[in-house]
Amino acid sequence: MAKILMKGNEAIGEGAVRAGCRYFFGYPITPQSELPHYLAKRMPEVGGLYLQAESEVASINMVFGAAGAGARVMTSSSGPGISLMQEGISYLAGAELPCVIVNMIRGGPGLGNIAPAQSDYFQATKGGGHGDYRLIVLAPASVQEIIDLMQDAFDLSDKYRNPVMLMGDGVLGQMMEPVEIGAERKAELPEKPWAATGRLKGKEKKLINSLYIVPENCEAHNLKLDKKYSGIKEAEQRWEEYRTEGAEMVLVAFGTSARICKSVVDICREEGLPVGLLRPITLWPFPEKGINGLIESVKSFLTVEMNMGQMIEDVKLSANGKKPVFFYGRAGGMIPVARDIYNEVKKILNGGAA
Amino acid sequence: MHRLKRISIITGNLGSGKTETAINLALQTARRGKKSFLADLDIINPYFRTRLVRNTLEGMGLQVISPLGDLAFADLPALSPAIKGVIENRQCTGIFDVGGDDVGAAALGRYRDLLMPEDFLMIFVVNTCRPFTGDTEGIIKYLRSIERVSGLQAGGLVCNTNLGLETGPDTVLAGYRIVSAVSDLVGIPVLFTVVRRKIHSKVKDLFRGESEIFPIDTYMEPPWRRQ
Repeated sequence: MAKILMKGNEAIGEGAVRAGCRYFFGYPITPQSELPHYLAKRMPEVGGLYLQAESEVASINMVFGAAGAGARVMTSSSGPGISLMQEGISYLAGAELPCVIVNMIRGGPGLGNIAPAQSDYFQATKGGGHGDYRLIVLAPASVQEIIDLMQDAFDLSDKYRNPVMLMGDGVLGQMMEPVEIGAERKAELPEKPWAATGRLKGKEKKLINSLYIVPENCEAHNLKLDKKYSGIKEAEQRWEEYRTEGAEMVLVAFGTSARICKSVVDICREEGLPVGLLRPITLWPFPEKGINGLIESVKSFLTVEMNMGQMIEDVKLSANGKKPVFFYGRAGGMIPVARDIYNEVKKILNGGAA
Repeated sequence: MHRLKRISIITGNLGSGKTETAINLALQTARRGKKSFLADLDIINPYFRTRLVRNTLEGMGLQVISPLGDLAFADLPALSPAIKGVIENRQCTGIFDVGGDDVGAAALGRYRDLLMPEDFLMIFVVNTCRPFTGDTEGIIKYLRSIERVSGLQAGGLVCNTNLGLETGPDTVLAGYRIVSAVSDLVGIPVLFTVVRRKIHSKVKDLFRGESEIFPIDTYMEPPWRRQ
């Protein structure tokens, strides 16, 4: 199949359609508005429903309804809108409803700006909403990877009955790259016997709820969720290693930062500096197995993020004090420059403080 | 490029390559010694906008009109009053870089009554590798929606078929054939075909004069390709 040129935001929409998603509820916000714009045109072509809700709070509750009825459903926003959705996301996790939530991060906190950022890492991976829950968080770094990960996002959410967040930043959403979208897979959705599709004669009633009023029952529910999360942590860690063979220093970066770090690694390698890159593809579960695989051979890690240092906490937890973990970041919508990261690498390799 | 008028209005589908086309057209006019203005009318695209390379372009002799100060970083439908100046000052040349799709073209409605038919040419840029504009039907649908919303008639088509860095001469020729078919259907001429300078000679050889080829340099690069 011939390649086409797509923006990241459009690719999320097309990837969702190809993964069998037929319901989208959302509210526009820069820098992800091309996604609802795309689906407003695309959903009617495949007999799906695109609906612009009156707010992000409404969107996420519409997602709750559609997911409860067993549909493949998605919503999207950027930081401020995702913050508004937190209550609904917690309810979705509590009721174990599969869905995909997209966050194309912009500069924050507060209203911030419309420039790209990665400052919602904590919000996505450490909770965000209330209660003991986890989202599976996927972080693509190219438009092609967006297309491929959208299928996985929906499959994982159905497999584990858990919301999945696809997280990128404005650059990833806005930039155009050639992609191979491949043949449309026949949407064979898994059986969802739990879905509230009506009480059939003689069968138990189906209830979608996150209310466990008796503490013993709520604790049992938490234990059940925890077991599920442990299983996900064991089975679903994903990462990419780039030129890590013989590396003394490994950069750790996701999304747009990782793209920039790849060029930094190339510059370093050209100069004979033993530097590689570990790019987490799942932010939760964080690829601690990837870090562990390198821990004996590397001398240090340098985490590069478009924030003031969030993922570095997971890198440090994974390194568990065995090797030093340094940080370089730009914040508020600024993008790290390859040359600056390179200088940081040199400084650390020369024994200077980071 | 002799068919261009004093004001070129560059429209097209979102991501069809309007900004790169507009920048290169404006630079070409400036190089010919004309007082040339490049006006950023993009009210929908938050990144990869003319305003980001304003300093570079002004260093190359171009006058860039775009929202000033903090507004340059906003996603507000703010248009500079200087745009009207370009329309009214018959001594200068203007290239208007309009936002994508009918939504972006809405900004033109503001100037509809000021634009004299002899003064301007509305150009519709097509990349057949983009979603929704891969065939004649899709392209014509977009063309008509932009004409409807702007209240202006397109006077020229530009083929900008590309797959970014993966563009081969065959990609360009295949795209040109589709745009050419659109031209036959709607009676609007194809003005030229845009290609990255790197593949210019190869495309020229393949086309054998079938279309005027306009080689361009690109200015909107992702952060990992910026120097």
